[in-house]
Amino acid sequence: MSTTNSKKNQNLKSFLLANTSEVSIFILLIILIVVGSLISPFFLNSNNLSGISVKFSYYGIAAAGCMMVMILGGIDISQMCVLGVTVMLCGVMDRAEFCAAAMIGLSLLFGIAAGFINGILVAKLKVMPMIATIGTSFAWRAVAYLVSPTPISISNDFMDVIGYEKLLGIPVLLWIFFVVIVVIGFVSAFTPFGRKVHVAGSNASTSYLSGINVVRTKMIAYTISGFTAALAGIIWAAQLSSAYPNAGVGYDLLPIASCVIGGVALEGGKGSLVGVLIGVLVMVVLQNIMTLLSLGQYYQLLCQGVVLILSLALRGAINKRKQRA
Amino acid sequence: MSIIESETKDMQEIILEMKNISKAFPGVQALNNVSLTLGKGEVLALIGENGAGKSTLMKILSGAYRQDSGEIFFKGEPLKDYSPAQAIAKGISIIYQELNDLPELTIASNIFTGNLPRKGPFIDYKQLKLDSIEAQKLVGLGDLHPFERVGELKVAQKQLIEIARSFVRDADIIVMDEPTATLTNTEIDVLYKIIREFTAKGGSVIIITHKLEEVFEIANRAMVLRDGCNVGEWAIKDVTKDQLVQAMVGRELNRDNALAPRDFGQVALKVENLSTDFLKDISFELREGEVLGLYGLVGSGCDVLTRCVYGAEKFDTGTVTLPGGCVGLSKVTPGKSLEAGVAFVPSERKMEGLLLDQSVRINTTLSSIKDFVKNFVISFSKERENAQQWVETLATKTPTIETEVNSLSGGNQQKVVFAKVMNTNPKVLILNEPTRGIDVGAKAEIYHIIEDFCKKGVAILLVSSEMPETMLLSDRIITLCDGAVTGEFVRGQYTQYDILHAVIGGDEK
Amino acid sequence: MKNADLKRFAKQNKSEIGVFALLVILFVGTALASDIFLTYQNISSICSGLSYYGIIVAGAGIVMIMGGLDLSQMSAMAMGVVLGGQVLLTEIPGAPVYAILLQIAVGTVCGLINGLIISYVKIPPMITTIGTQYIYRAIAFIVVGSQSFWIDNKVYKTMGFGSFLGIPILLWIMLVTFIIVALIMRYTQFGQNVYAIGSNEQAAKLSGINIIKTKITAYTLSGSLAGLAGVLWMAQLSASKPSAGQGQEMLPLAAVVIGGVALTGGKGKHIGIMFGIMLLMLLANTMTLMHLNTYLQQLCQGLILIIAVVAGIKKDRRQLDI
Repeated sequence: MSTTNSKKNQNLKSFLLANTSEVSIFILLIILIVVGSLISPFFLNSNNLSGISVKFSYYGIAAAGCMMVMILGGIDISQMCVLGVTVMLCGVMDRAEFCAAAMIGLSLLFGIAAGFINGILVAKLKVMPMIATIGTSFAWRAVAYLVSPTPISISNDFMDVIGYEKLLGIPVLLWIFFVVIVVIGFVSAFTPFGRKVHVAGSNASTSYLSGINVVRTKMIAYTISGFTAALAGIIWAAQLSSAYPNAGVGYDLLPIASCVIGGVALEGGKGSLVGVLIGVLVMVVLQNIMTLLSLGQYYQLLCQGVVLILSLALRGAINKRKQRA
Repeated sequence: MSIIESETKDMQEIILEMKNISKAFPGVQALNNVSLTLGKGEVLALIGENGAGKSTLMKILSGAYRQDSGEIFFKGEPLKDYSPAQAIAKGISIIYQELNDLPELTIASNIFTGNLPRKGPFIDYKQLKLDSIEAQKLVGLGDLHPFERVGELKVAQKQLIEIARSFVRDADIIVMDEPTATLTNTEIDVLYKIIREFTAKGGSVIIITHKLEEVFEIANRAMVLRDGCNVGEWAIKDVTKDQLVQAMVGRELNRDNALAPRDFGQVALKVENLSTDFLKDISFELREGEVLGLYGLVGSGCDVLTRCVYGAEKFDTGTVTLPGGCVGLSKVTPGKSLEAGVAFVPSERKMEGLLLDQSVRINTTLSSIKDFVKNFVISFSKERENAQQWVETLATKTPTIETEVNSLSGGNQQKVVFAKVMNTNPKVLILNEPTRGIDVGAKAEIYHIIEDFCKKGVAILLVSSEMPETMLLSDRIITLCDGAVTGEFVRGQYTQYDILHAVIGGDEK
Repeated sequence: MKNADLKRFAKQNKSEIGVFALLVILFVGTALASDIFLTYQNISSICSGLSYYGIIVAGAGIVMIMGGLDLSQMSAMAMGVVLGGQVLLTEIPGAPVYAILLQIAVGTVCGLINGLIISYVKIPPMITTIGTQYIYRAIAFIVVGSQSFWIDNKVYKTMGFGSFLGIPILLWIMLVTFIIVALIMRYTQFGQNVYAIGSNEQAAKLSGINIIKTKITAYTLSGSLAGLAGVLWMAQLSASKPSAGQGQEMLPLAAVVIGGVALTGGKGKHIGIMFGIMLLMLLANTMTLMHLNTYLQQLCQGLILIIAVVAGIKKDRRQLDI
């Protein structure tokens, strides 16, 4: 009896050691949830929870794409601006009475194109990823305003289905989220492409000399990132039934911060989708708590910056200790 | 050894003493209880094979690394926890093996980095110019303008600038790590002259070198390191070249390791008129089962040539014909080369050969991952099986196949690299410094792996900076100097002197 | 010999000469195309923008020559603007002096924090300063909400609208600051250490340069200059608001890159950086004169940044295609 117990203990120990970052951030999440429910009676209210789940779904989708790029050792800051343009495209296409399929198809196509452009800049033209995507994010935000500087309301039956309906008791947008997550999680963990992303992020020179087409891998990863940003944008538009050009402003760092606290290494090569999703949940819950405390939008900015830097500092400290051990 | 110590003490005052220095890196004990003494006005030659620990010892002295244990006394005072800046300030100056130039800065700024002449708080450029010309004259570069950018100079000139830099620093000790690797004979004579002037004024020099002639030319005393341990030290007048070689290698070079004569197969790799802005019109053929060694000094172009052949670097004109008749234009990439059956082991194992933070398994299947895919999904069981097999075949010492290669020793890391390339079933194998930083035992194992390749009919293109190794393994040696072929030698039909003569360009005396 | 010197000068100042030529062409072109361009009012409006951005890019230039990056300058400036504004509103005697000192001090502290994080915690400068960009901006907003305040102070007004020898005081301040920074870069050990680190950090360390001290000093200077730029900004706009400089975070980066500083560091001169910011300000003015809408202008700025960076990338044969 005692031996099986100690064996179990050992298994648990090795599991905890192997997944330190996931476990520690999961604990952080639980603490946040406890704090949230203590602070406000509304926190565990079903309305509030569904609000959290909506945000979780679009930030989660975006973060999953961002994760691909970050595992590759890159970064994509333009996601929220691509999301902004997508939202506006949905708006104008709805106003022009496009059918839902065309609207969604063209929006996704735009996301793919935007991601592809980042891919060209980074992989082909060798621009530093941060600079390239900051540049495109400026351009895309401007485009969003050029499409229409004023909000457009969206009234489309199919978009309403995405935004409000439930399937088997679960909101449609969560279903979309699940599908995307499962696909990206699967691709990242089990396919040769996922492997290429990991190894190219771990050491691009070695990977290239070992026959991996690093440039193509990067292009695809950035394209996926753009695609997920656009998909998040469609859900955003469907959920709010309106398109405004500053959609996503001030949240540019959220997917990146989620990935970083979720254990994705800034240098690339390491990261799991589970960690990233818990990371997104942490960010969204944190946001929610601040809203419940009726703290202004600026606290959200503060929070993103602080979380990003603190989690990196913590990671650095842990790595240093590991090296010493 | 104690006799020698007391002798030096009698002769001259001791300026530096390093006592029982040990240093370990993940997976390898780089230094094990190494001690060193240096007298005032003395030139000490520190010799040993690659990976013997010479550079590590000197990096500890410079403050770039910190020892795990052991003490350092400088002018009788203990030195502890110091930075390179503090070492320089105290009077210990190092010329590193890797060039440490500041390419965007001028010659003058490079020589006087961190120590520019000032008038009040401001840099005095007039003085800087004069000082720089003075320093440049010292190393025979007086005719270059001090405000030329260093990035535009030749490798040898950069090296001379580095040397000038450490001589203007008012140092008590100057350490030179392979200072002559890129220099011509006239430039080396200049270096000897300034070393003699420096020691005459009471300065001390530690010189790390591979060239034993140099040791007898310039040093007073020689100290040999092997596998991170002291092997011995001798006054130069009391030692012969053979004794030093014996101490370095630890045994007679085992001639049994040389590959038995074989019949070579068809041409596996053909390079015709390959040129870049540096390489000049290079052509050669390589047959199945043959080992072709490329040999030259640092910067001669051997490494660049192999990278061009493999497609890692672009070349301007010429053709590379890979196995299967595939003609490699300058659009060849490593991916295409691998498909055609050419595999590559780079010289920078940690930077370009391995994914240090990934497991043995992932590294093993890195080049061949598509062989493990079933229905678009990686078969992890097949992958694990394969990695396990290679670990057993090559006797790689690793706890499990999921261990990060970071924690393996150099030799075992290199075995992982070999497993990676073997998984691609290459017809041509390009080996760049296959035994760099590997201990003697593992070296022999690597030689056996190479031999197995040959027996299977794989053609091997070998680059090694160790001449004994190149001579031991190669059926044929092509020498390069400044990007051009200067000679071709078939096994058994040359002497060491022929090769040395060829690598310095042949014409020079 | 003279000829050789001239050749070397041309070779070593290729990018500066290039930007200057571009600047002249754009200037002449706009002057020919628009009647308003050469009016006193238009030129002085270009100059006022040039004054505070000029000071900011002087700081950005220091860290970028070092191979670093500071994306938090605009936020640090805003923090200074908000806190300085609050001091001015108290109308205590000597308020403007305190306000100016406070603004510079706030910027300095912001820069110091960046420097400490980058050199001790070792988080890459880009990530660090984009994180602090958010934090400093948030603090600015949290202090006053989204309110803006009208600044009506004599000292600031003189600074903002007065002129000396026919040249706006703002421009004088900028020019003097810029020249001092340029001189520091060329004539002090610190400045040359910055170049050395940017050229090859490892080599700089091994040749005895104190990397940490130099880095912290550079980032602190960048922050101080952002604080000073905030003083000019407030003087010129007669306002204190937390959104000061928002949306312009990439402008300094673009100006510095256009001015011939490689993103990898080590290369570039402040004179080139000056041409770079002049070019961008001129371009913005030209676009306004062409009645381009603001968003289109922003789009152009994004594109210019990308083009400048792409043009600055040197392809190296030895570089792997990764």
